[in-house]
Amino acid sequence: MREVSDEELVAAARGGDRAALDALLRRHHDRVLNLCRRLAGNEADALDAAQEALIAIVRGLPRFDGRARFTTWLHRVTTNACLDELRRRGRRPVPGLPEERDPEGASPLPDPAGEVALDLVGERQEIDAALAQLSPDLRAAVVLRDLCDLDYAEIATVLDIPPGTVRSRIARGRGRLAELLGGPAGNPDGSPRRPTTGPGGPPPTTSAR
Amino acid sequence: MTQPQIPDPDELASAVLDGAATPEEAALVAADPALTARVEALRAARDRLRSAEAAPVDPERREIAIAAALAAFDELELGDAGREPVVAPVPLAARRRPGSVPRVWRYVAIAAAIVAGVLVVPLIGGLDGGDEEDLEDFASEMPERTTTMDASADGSEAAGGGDAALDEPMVALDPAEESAPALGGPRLVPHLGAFEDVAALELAVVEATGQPSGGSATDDQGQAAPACEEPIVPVEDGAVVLELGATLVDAEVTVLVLERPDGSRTVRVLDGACAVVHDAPLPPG
Repeated sequence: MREVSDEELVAAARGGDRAALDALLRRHHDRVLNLCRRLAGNEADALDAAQEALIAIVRGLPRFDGRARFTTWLHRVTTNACLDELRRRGRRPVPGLPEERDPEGASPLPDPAGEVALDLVGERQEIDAALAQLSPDLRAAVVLRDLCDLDYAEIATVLDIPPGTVRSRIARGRGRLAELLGGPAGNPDGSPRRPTTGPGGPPPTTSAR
Repeated sequence: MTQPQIPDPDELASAVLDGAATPEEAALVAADPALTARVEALRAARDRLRSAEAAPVDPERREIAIAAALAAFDELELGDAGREPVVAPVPLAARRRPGSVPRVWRYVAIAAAIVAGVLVVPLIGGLDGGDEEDLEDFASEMPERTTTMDASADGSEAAGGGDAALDEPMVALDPAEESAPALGGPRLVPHLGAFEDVAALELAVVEATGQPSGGSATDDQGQAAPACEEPIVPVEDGAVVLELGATLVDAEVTVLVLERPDGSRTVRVLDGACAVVHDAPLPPG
């Protein structure tokens, strides 16, 4: 059976179909929450932000004109809701402790699978900690590109910035993450040496899609 | 002669990684081992970011979030009833959930709870540790009042978004639990009522905090509900000046009113696991 598209569900919801809206929200809730988790850095803030985002999506549906893909618009609303939430709380993301993520985190690890699970949680925390070191602008650009798989043009729409700025923010964010996550760096200060002009003369300064 | 602008190395490497580099940029990177190495470093960071598995989503919290959003949908329709509708009207029968109570009755219930609270304060104050009988009498009356409210609500749907919850069983006030520490251990807190959405809950909290009695946690309401076990409030978030129970979209929640040193107040809603599901400035009364 053919799956109902987002656009069809949106149209039905805009027409007052509560069940269609319910289906739309269910389809995208986890995506919204996971984006908020990466942007907020801890579970409590992410849950709040995700709920605010869903409400904002519902309230914004009448204004959604369909020019962008629904998921692009959803990312935009969610990102704004998360960043607003962080701004309102006046803080940068603080990665949650394991106890915050798992209310039953105190339970013993019974088997190697448990250790693997702990490793996964530890990895997640390390990445969250690294993301938390980025400014919200850089973090949002990197998360939207590398986790949400949006292209530069979509990110430009989501963040309402020029594509060239998207490219620059992603690069800076990734560069910082590479340092924080212990990847190889070009120079002692963590950045590669600046290239000399290469073949074919000076490279263009922008090439964003 | 102007010096040609050299792009940032990370920007070049990142663009190559994304396939967003121009042919000239790609050639420049390919010809420079340091830049090629940087592409690999950025790729490793990106892959690590992508490989970190997302934590599982708690189904209960998912339901709460979706229910809150659907409640906003209901409000959107009802709130714009007098204006040009942004979404087509939905028959009330379809929108209203089984057992729901219209908004007006919710407010009546809140008011009744507040009045009952005012009545019970002297009663509790008069107990000297041994008058549980009187308290039990009061508690035994409460379900009757609830039943009456439900009966009144039936057939009187006006413009409400509806909620399910005045038929929640009430919990008798226990003097021993009433005197338990405010934050910790199993205990009961006054129950504010049942709400379909956070906005309605906030409104009720505003009303509760605006009572002449000063809005303490024990003198506004006549019902009692189990609170989440141990709401932890970071010091920087302010002091808890009011703690209540409530039913939000069929889930029992704990409502905290926090006051910061500058006098600003926020309302924080915690679910049964003491996780924050809502946190916002307290709307003006």
